[in-house]
Amino acid sequence: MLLDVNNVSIGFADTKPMQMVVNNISFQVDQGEILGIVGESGSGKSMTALSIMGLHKDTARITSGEIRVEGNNLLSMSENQKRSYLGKEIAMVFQEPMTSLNPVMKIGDQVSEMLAIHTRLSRKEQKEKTLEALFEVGLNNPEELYNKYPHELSGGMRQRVMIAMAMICKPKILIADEPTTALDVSVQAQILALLKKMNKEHGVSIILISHDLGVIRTMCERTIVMSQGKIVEQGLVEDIFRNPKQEYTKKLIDAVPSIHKKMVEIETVVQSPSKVNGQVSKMLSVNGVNIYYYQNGRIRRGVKKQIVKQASFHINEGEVVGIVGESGSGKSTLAKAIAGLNMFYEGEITCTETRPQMVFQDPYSSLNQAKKVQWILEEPLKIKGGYTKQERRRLVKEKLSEVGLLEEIGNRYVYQLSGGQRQRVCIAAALMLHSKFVILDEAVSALDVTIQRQILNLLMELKDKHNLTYLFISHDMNVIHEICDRVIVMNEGKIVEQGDTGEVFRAPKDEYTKKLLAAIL
Amino acid sequence: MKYIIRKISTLILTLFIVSIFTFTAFQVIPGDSVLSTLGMDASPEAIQALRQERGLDENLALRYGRWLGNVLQGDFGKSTQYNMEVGALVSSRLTVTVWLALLSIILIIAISIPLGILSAMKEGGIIDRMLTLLTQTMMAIPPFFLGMILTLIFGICLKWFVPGNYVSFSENKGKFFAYLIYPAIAMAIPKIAMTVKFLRSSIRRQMHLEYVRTAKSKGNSKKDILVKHVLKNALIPVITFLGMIIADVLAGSIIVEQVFNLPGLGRLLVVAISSRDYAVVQAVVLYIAAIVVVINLFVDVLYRIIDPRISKEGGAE
Repeated sequence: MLLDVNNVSIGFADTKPMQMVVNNISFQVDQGEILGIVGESGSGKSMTALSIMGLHKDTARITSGEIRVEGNNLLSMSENQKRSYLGKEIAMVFQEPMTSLNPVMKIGDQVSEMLAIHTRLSRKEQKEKTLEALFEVGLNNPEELYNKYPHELSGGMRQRVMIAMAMICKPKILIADEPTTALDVSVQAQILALLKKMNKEHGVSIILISHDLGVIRTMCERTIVMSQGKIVEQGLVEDIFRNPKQEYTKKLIDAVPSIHKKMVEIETVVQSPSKVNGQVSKMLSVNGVNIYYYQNGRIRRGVKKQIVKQASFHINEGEVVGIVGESGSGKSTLAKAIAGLNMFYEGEITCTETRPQMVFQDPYSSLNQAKKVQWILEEPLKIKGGYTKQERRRLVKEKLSEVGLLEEIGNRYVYQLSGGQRQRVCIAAALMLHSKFVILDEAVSALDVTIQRQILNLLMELKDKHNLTYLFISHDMNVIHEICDRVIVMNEGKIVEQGDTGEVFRAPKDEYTKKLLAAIL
Repeated sequence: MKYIIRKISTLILTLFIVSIFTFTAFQVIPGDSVLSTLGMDASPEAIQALRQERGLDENLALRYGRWLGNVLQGDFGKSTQYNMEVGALVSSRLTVTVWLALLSIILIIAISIPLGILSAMKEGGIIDRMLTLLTQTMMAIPPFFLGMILTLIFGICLKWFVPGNYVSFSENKGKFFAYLIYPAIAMAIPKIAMTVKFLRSSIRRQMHLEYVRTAKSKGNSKKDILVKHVLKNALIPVITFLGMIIADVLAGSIIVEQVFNLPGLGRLLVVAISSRDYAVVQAVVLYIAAIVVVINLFVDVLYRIIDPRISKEGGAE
């Protein structure tokens, strides 16, 4: 047994009585195995992983238990003893490869620092080993990369650098905390393959933390399911998937939108009712739209860069149309132009709804944190004008209950709400003025699977009730497949394919679409 | 290189605008140098004659044009108050101000950066709390009061220097610096306090960022995390702040010069303004404007060296 976590509890010391976030958890990791830890945010999975490395926040305290690496208890070691383990025996790969790297330090220096700390190699040897390590993680021009800074690399490349850094001292344990969550789907598959390769070739044990059951299923043999600081289930991944014993695990598995699940259902459902009606009128038509940005703009206008190239499509009333593409494909830029947030475009955008509304990915930062929910929801009414105070209050109350929130939520600030509640508030704000057309820009991407399920259900309910039309932007093929009638695939600013969701998913024509579909877990 | 040329042309343009501005401002405020030289009781004829001699009766554009022409040839005109060449006058005063400024800049940087790091490293500890209290107090003390206290302690009680007994640079370099160190301290203390506070909060902000966690996961010691990773990041905003402080110090401090009886630029400017000695005012204002622009340029260049994210074109997309 390589790692033995025994009866560990962690709590926050700054609240009284101490708020426990991890309760008496025990698990083991064997030599060369990949262990998954799955759970929703707040389940304590990241806290558990960070505490192994001693990287938890200063306010968190490990109140009991042992963490043994090859029999040596990390928790009873001195700071100096422990440091000789960090990076050398146990290394870590984090979620955000951008913010996890030092922005003002060269890539090569950051990787070779590991060697400087843990080995007695000369500078020249350090550099040689660093170049080898960079090459091994699939970065083909290590010499050039050595002198670059993190911001000059793509997300996938940065994560490869993180892995090179973590693996350079040949650690026995690699902890990967949501290593692919911030990455595009096709990159995700590559990074997971790389982790698997490291496991096979170097025999490193990996603890893979993820909220994504698909990731866990493709990577791990054994997994732990965590909820509210406790391990609710552990065992072989396939057993847990086929035969979940706990209610929570069942809920988690059911909540995942999955193509594999829907493929069966789609054969039974013939066609969605909106198309049977025959009479269709257009909600939106986009004709030959080009959108440019100017790179930099301090004194002189810089290089003109085309973000969206000749986009043409339409959306009928009552339809849900998805735009799918990776980051940088121009999908959000296009959405902003449609919503009227960016007026600088060429081409024609006509929309029957005068006030298309938008719901964004991060509900926390897109809501005003200094105002109460009541104020936020009243604001569109005030801007439009013509409502008395009583009317506004009544309308807000109605909307709140419509999106499944209690009236008293109106008196709270954004930080007092959960992620799901915040996104409900955003949806309510979008519907305050009875807009018939809503653009959802990665609106469910930041949410936990079970919350995502609830929000998707809510969106569908609201659509049926008010005959809404959605433009649904996402990088998640599974979600798109589940809720969209038609799908538009964007790559590098161009629409490469569009058509009925079922058809596109069954028989993709474009190479890029095929690549995206192949990357689905 | 292109960037530097662009910045230099901005500098020239700024100086040009500033000079027009001060020139016109002097036209608007009442009184002129003739009244100041001859006094209130002078006969109208005498006033008229001197006005003519000094060229004050001509129109503004013409006078500005002539002044500019002379300046471009290196001639800043003549002071009406001191009756000497402005160039020579200002440069003699500059010696005091620049040396004073340099001494305080050295003090500011040499003291505030280690203290800021110390304070951030011992966050919440007794040293940190003492330093916080001390910086708070030092920022609140007015500079003239600080000057008086220094004079009282070092001049009157300890007798390390004779208050008011300024020795010029050309007379005796040793005595010049031995005297200058006290006003330099008086000038530096509030700025040190500000810089310590600023650096401390900048470091603390960085400490919560994720790359620090990565550095820790590599097995770095606390000190190495701070020195190798955090400091460079934390210094980026501090550089702007220090740039402002340095420009401020170089512009000369009227109060400190007054308290320590130093013939510096600050006092020169005050006297020149009250006696409507416009040639002197123009020259001093131009110097201050040039200092501010040059320091800014310097800060910008330093930024580019420290922070690779600022590209040559000026920022990320």
